[in-house]
Amino acid sequence: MASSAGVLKSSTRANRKRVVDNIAQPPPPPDFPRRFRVTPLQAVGIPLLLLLPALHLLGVLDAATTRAAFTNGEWQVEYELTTRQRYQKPVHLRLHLTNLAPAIRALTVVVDSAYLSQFVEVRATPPLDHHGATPVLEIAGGATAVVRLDLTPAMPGWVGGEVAFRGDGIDRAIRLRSFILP
Amino acid sequence: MDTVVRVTLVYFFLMAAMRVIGKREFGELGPFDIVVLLLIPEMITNALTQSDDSLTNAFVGVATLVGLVFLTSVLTYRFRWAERAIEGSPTVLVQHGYLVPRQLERERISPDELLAAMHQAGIETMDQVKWAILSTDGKISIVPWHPGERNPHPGERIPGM
Repeated sequence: MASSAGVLKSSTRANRKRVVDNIAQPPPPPDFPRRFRVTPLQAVGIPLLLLLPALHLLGVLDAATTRAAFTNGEWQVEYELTTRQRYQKPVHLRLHLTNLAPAIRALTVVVDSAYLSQFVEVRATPPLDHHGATPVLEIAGGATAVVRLDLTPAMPGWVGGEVAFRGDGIDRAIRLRSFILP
Repeated sequence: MDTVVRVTLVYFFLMAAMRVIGKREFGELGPFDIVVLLLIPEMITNALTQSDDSLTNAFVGVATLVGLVFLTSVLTYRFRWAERAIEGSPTVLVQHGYLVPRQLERERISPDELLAAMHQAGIETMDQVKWAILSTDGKISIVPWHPGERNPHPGERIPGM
C-alpha cells in the first residue's frame, strides 16, 4: 500500500463517511434451464476413469487369497496363498502340514529357487537354506506344523513356481501363481 | 476400498474447510497462506496413501479425485443450491459509491485493500464506484459508473439505504 499512500491522502476526504448498511445487489445474470451435457470425450473418459474406483470398491484391485488342501491318506497339506497383491506388498504363503499317521514322521518343504528369484525379499519361518528348503520337520502323529513365507515381489506381473513336499510317505508338489498389480 | 473412502473424506473435508475460511483466502495468497497450503498436502499424504506406493493406489486415488471434481462441477452447474453451498455467492463490498462495512468485516477486507483494487481499476474516489464485488474466486471486481450514468447522490448518504 506504500505506493498508494499519496493517492490515499488526496482521496481520503472524498471517501470519508461513505458507508451503508443495507445491501442491494447488482443485476443478476440472465438465467436459462441448466442441463447436464458432456463432450464425446467426457462421455467415454469419465466412465473409464470412474471404473477404477468402482473396481477398487468391489475389491478387484485389492489383495486376494486362495486356500486349498490335498491329502494322500498319510499327510494333509493345507495352503493359503496371496494370488493377487499390489506392488511392493508381500505375497503370503502359509503351509499347514498335518501328519495323519500315528507315528512321528519327517518332512521337508522345498520352494522352487526360480520362484524365489522373482522376489526381492524372502522371509520364511522356519528359515530356508540356499536351495530353498526348510530344515527336516519332525512332526508327531496327528500334529500339524506350519511353514510361513512372506515374499516381496521384484516386479509387477505374474509370479509363479512350485513348492514340493518330500518326506516319509509323501513326494508331491503344488503350483503357485500370483498376480502383482503395478 | 480404503483409498476411495479416504480420498472422498479428505476431498469433502478440504472443500468444507476452504469454504469456511472464505473467498478472500483464495484471491491473494500471502506468505502465511502459502505455508498453510504447502503443509496441508504434507499432512494428508500418508493418510491418503497409507504407505502404499503402488501405481494402482495412485491411479485409484487420482481417478477418485477427478471423479469427485467432475461430480462437483456437474452439481454446481445443474443445481443452484449446490452452487451456493459449494462455491458461495459474490459479496457486495461497495454499492453506488458506499462501503458496506458489515460485508467488509465478514470477509476481512480492509478499506485499504479495497482502495488498492479501485486504483488498479483506475478509480480514485468511492463516488466513482457503482459496485465493488468480491467474487467467489476471491478477486475484487470494480464496476464504475458508465459514462452515460451518473451517481445520483455523489458525496452523500443515499436515503433509505
